[in-house]
Amino acid sequence: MDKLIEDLKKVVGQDYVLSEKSDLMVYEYDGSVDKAFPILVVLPSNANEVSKVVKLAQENNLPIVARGAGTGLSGGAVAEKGGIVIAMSRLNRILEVDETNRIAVVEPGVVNLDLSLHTAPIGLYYAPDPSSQRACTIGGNIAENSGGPHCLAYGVTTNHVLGMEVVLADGSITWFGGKGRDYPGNDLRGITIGSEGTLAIATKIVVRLLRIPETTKTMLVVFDDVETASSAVTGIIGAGIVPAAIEMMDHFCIEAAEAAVNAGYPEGAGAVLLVELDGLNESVEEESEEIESICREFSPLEIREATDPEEREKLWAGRKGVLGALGRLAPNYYLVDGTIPRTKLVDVLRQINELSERSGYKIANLLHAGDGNLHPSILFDERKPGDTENILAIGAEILKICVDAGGVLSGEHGIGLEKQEQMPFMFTEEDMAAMTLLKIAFNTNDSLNPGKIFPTGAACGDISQARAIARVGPGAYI
Amino acid sequence: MLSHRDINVRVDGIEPSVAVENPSNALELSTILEEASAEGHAVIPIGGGTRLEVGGAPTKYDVALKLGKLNSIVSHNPADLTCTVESGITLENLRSVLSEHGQFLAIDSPFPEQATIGGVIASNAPGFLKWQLGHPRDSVIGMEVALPNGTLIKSGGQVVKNVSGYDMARLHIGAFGNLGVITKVSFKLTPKPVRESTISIEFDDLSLAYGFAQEVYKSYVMPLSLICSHDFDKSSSSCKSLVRIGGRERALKRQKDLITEIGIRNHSRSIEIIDQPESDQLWIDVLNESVKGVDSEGYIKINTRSSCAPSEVEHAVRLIGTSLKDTGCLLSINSEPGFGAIFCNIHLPEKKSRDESIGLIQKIRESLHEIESWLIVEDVPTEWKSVLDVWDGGQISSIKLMDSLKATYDPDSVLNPGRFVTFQS
Repeated sequence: MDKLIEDLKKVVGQDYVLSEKSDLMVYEYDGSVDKAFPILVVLPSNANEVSKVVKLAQENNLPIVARGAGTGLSGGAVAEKGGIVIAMSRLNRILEVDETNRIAVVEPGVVNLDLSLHTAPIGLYYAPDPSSQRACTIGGNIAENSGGPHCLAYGVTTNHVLGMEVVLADGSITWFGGKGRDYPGNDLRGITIGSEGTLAIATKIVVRLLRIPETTKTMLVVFDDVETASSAVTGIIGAGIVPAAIEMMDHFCIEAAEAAVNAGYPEGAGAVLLVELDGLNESVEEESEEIESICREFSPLEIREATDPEEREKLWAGRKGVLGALGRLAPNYYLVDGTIPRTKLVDVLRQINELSERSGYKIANLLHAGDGNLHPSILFDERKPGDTENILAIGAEILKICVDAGGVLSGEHGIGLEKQEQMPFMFTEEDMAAMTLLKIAFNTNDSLNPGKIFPTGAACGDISQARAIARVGPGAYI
Repeated sequence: MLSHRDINVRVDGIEPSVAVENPSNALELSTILEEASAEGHAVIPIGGGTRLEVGGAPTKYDVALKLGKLNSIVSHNPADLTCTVESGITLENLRSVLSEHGQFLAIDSPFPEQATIGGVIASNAPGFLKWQLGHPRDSVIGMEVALPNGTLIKSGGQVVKNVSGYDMARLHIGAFGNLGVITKVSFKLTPKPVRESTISIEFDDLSLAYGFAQEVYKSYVMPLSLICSHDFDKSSSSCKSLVRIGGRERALKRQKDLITEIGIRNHSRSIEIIDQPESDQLWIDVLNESVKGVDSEGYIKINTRSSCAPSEVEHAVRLIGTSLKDTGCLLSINSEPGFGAIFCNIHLPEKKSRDESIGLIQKIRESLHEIESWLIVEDVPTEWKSVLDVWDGGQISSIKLMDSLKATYDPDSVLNPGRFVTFQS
């Protein structure tokens, strides 16, 4: 081990190999419930160094976990099998912004929001905006194919990444895609995005930038209950309008948000809908008029609108503050992430409510309603014996409800360690076998982020118990 | 097993040596593949047959696997803005069903009444809808594929946000059925714009047209399509730009006004506004023409496609034009300057030798490689394919990894041997 540490220090520098337990603790966890200690943490500063670190890890038969900011919610950055964590925090340069072609070349450790802030003066932005965008990195976004509230109209990470320089499991450096939009051959770029760091490690990323729209308008519409709000969402989409975002909060979230940020929602509010439109002045005007008239059909308690950035921020305040605010309702919450066809919203929310009543645990629902991405938050107290096991089981049951409704296990958090045992809800043995063949084609020898995505075959009970020891994270983001 | 022989399944002059299969569903298709792979047969999946000449010549061809009977819409819930279809449905049939619900799929292709969804996706067919709505791959949200041994596997789903397991559909988009046969595809759909118009603007020369396109790109207008069309064989140097826009009434009017203004500012020679339904047909015609070209006796016609940075499109178009100057070739080019795609229709005089003609293609390629572009030759006489790499494979990074994908998923080279870029000679 000492020799390996010395070799690694020669590659990345004395200060950038961490092996003391106190240093490693910082890299023990991400935003999920899982924890594991890596043997070493290495902080390279360029692709060549990453390549050399990968080669050294391979020579020593150690698994490799690439890590961004560690904001992930499914255990993607947890070094489940130990080994070396390659932390990307020094690969954090914006290398190029090409205004004419609207692309940027960035290193994987660049913080998502920093890119948009950097390009704002020239009227461009990077569209995927996970709620953790102040902290999460573009490299991490690639691993999880991250979404965000605004991906309803603009798509998720894979729709915005044109190419990347990657280090493969053997340490070789190559490119998938590039600065152009279209390449002959297999879409290696596309297959790597969302592969949770199991196929390759991105060291440079070419992203598409969008023009900041002429106008952005936010509408806040308050309804009696989530059923009515869901019908309004269906009405809006049915009218041929795809807003930039449609977010929904249920009464638990409203209660929490009201207490925390004093959002000023009216008495009896059972569901809050936030609709954001952007584009040409005229199209935003026309569409917002139509949305207003659709919402009026469902007797809303209140409609507020804003185009001024500060006013818009106020409308978003309740939504953005809600996760932190849930702490007022219970000491802990467990955030679930499933996606369903949006027309199944009412039915699935009803089943989740029934589950909540049956189990005795409150479940607050926060939804990216436009694209059917649900974030039920199960409220609990980890100090109570049995609570953690129970809520993990409830989480799995919610995902079963989602899959049975034609949905999927994860909308934007990934499978990681959290949902690997639930993969059979969606996929047959053959489906998963075909997926794992990719690791063979990429010749990873299962050294890149091993133990993730696919079922381990461990009994559910064992896993729940293991997780029960772990922390469920307040301060998590969605 | 031998059912019948059919000219429609001829690929590069070769007919299947064993059978033409026409399964009615995915399970039948799976059985056929299972048997074929057990027998060591080579299989070529065939959709509408509009792009069979694209790609390298098959090195082995035993079974033609027609997908035309897998033509149903598996599900379409309009309020979800998603649909799942069998891969053999034609683009036109899907379009007409979606259109009844005020929706459309942001993918187009020449010959939509013949071209199948599976074929369009697998062969990355040319289309002009990418400016605002993105690459066709961005519309795919799930897929069912038959692996070479017949195993049916699925990935993705019917929702627009999904990170559940590997995004396997990506392996098969633009992969020419090299790793599997697409049997079902799930798409995200787009609401049809309330109204659409096309603005046709003529310019006296290329620079003005591309200057116009750049200015539209920088404006707040987001056209559905914008192409520049230019014939190098004519004595005039004129260039036409077609801009397709959509929206509600006021938004559409604003876009028309903005584009007209930009056109005038760039010294347009004429501006014509074409409304629906003529504008719909116009785009089908333009796309068909871009592939068909004009029939010219005494010439061999080839089609090519290239991609580059949007800002380099004019430069690339000029490089292609210069490479063919005074060679007796006829050249027409359609480009998408907002996306960075260039489609050429080249007529090479028959009297030129094969090597001379291929020399011209290589000359174009060399000039394009300088600007990080490439040139795929999509439609070329079969006998050229033994000496011309139609894929311009030397320009593809990670080709070794693509070979490894083929070796892993299709170790016995059951599917389309020799036709895709990963072919190992």
